[in-house]
Amino acid sequence: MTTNPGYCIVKNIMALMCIVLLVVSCKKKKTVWDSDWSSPVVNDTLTLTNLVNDSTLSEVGGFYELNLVRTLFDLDLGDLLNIPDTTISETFAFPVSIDLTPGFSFVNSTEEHDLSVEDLQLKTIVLKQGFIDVKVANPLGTTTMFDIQLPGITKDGSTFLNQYTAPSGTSTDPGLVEETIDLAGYRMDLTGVSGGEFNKLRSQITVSTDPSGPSVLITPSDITKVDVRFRDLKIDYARGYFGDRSFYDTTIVELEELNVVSSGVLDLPNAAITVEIENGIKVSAEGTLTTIANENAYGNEVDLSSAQIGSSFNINPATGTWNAINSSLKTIVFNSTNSTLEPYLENLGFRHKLGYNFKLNPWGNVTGSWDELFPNSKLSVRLKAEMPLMIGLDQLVLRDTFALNFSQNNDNTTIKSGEFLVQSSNAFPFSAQLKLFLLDASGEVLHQMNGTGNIEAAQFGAMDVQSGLMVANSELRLALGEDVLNDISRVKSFIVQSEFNTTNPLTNLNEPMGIPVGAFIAVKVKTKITSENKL
Amino acid sequence: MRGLITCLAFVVFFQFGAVGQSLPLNYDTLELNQEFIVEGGGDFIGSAIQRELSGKFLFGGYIDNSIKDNSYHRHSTINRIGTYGGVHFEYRNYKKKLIENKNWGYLIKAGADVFGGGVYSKDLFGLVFYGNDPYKGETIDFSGSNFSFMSYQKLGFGMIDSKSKSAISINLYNINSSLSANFKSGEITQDLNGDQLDFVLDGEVTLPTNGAFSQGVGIGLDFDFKLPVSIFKGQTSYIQLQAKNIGIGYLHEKQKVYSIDTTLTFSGFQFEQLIGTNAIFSDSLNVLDSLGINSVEKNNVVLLPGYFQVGKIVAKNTGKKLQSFYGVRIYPTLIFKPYVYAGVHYSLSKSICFGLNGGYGGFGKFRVGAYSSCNFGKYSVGVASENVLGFITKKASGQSLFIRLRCAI
Repeated sequence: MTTNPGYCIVKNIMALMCIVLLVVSCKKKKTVWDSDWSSPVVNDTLTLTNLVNDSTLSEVGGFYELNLVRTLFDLDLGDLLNIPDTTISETFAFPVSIDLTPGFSFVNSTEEHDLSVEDLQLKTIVLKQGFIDVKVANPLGTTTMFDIQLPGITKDGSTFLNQYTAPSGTSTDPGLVEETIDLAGYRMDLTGVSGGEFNKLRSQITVSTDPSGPSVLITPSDITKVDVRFRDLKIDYARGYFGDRSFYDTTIVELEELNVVSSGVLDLPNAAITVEIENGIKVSAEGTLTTIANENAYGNEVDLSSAQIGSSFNINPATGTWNAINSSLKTIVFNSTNSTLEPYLENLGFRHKLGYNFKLNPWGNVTGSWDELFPNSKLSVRLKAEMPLMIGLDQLVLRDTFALNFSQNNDNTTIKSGEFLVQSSNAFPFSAQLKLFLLDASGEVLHQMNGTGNIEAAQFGAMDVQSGLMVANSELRLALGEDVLNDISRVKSFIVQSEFNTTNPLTNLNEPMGIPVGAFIAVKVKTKITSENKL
Repeated sequence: MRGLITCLAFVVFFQFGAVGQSLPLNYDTLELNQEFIVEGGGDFIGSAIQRELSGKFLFGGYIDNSIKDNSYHRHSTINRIGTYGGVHFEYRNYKKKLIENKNWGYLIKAGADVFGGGVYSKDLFGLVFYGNDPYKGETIDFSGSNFSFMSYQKLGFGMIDSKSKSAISINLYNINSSLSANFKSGEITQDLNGDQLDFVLDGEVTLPTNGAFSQGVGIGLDFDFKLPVSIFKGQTSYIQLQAKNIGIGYLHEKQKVYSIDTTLTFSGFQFEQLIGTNAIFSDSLNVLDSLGINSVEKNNVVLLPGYFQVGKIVAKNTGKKLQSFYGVRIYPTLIFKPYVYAGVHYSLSKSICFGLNGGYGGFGKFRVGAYSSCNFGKYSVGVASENVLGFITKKASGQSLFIRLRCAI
């Protein structure tokens, strides 16, 4: 068999084309190269004012002092002196049938009514809020005039007096008039007709026929009716006897910033906290702090023990009147000599619990019903802490957890290796050792990354001319190794953990250190990664 | 595998003859009845990037530092890189007259093409292949960078003159992919410590929003006129005026256009920007907004990547052993410089010929090309390269191979 050379050539060319197309269209391997990338990530300066409210810091001798004031509660006694809705309802009927001439006054009634308050003996009140709903019903076949006067209820010196003209009606379909009057600002004298009573409302009602109308017959079945309803009363001022009522509760204060403490010791020498009770009401009271306790991030609860807890104390009434009211002040100081304050604070509780019990007029009506409540009079309980920020930290560990969702697909461009570079300038007297923990979805630690060094404490640095403070400059690295990056898709959260120490460079022991005014920590975090680029 | 291909290519070059893809046709002045042509191939070229690097994008593999360094050091301020290629089939019928008493036959063509490339700075090459870390204390300047890429299929119908072989056709296009990037200004400045990045960016990137096979449709024109001229007394030469894919396309699939015109300084986030419910990364739109990047989806009208070429071609039936050819090729785009070429053609026998040529411009600089072709009666086969060095050394600036099969009846 002979071979045609042309046929061979064509066959060769076709084979070549096939090979070329195969190689070009079915590229077996990816194109891969590495490149190095760097970028700043964080550039921030933190001071104490980033962590706490400005007003809680004060300066003493160039060092910060904690001046913490938290109002635990404000008791507005006006909310407790509750006056229920009260209706004065009067009906008038004639025993016999008679003709009423025009202008004839056929009702003239003065009555006294009880205000439905249980354990209060109120002599005078001024209303912050309240309403009267007046409703009159006329059964006569002529127009009638209702004069309603409420003696003792005044505003700007004028007694409450209103006249209503009711249209003619019948006994089955009386002529009606209704009105609602705002009582805010009204003063109510509740001493009754005699002036020596309490909780008494007075009313004076007259009803007469229309002077220009016809004479009409009134029969025993014709009932003239007046309803006066007091509702939604709120007290602005009150005088009387407020009773021996008690109130008690447990209030909780949370300091979330301390919920990240993991372990270690915090030393707070010379600390003191004060519970301050301010009484703006002219009424005596007796109080008891039933419990003070805190709970830290571990769930460890510590009670503050002191002879002052569980023991009753007296709260004097306020003095003065109206705008010149002088609140009484009761202070209870807890310090390391009269209580277990130091271990209490060093438990680093983030949830603080304070239980209390107050009783008004513990000795009865000793003021002759002259308890007084003025506008804005409150019974306030405040927690105050004043202490120099001499903090000793001994391997105190703070840790917080953050979500992370970062995935790498090895078929695409990936991060091959990298590191975080942390540069700091620290004017605080504590050092910090950083660690990162990478966690999977179940919270298991996949990898731990330790910083190559510490953020040094200021006392190990040098004087910074610009800030006038000792400042330590540090640099540490957190490496992102291949093992970490291989698992990065499994990482769902990470923990930043830092261990703090206040080391004295002379003794090499962790001791309390003051925080100088203007202390700061400037942090720069930069990243450098090597990416494996794939196309 | 690549060595085998290289060897085979050389065998083909020097045993037979070929015709270059866009280089002068071996112009057959004889009258024919029908012609079938199948041709295909590709060319990728860079003005600075060596084949050892660009070849990795074709064949895959790891680009190590020495490969990157070799190409990087060849870069000047403005550089180009690009590729074009495709597969085409064409049927010509010279005897079926479309117009009475005229010599116009008809042709049908179909094919697929890619065309893409860009003009870029040395710094942009460095940024892509080395990253930004080596540029601490410097400014990475990629202003004026411009990239575009398009792939499409075409189907055309036209007329061809049976004597001169001049032809014109109308083509319909299905656009597979169209993307572009253009930065009027682009600078990234880093301080020496890597504490701060300053961005000056004014540019636009246009990308497809989906992977649909048909992103758009287009209409275009090919023409190929061959004119006899007398350059030397008593000698007839032929000038070819050729244009391909001159037209426009409409992308019926929306494209996403990211635009940025901003001056930005970044020295790191503050803690409150990274942590908590107001963290900047909690909303990707926030991130784009904070970087000054706007995006909009829209349908675009695009120019097809057509070209014009004019030049002297060689004639098949002159009886001359040695002929010259030369010309210029122009793509109406900034990323492709006008490509000028010139060469000599030698007919070893009636059935075997080959040629050598040099060219300058396009996506690259100076290139040496070669072709050879072989006729077997009504069949002819040709292989050509516009960059012979690409088969000899990996230090060359690209690679080029085109193959053409022809049957003339």
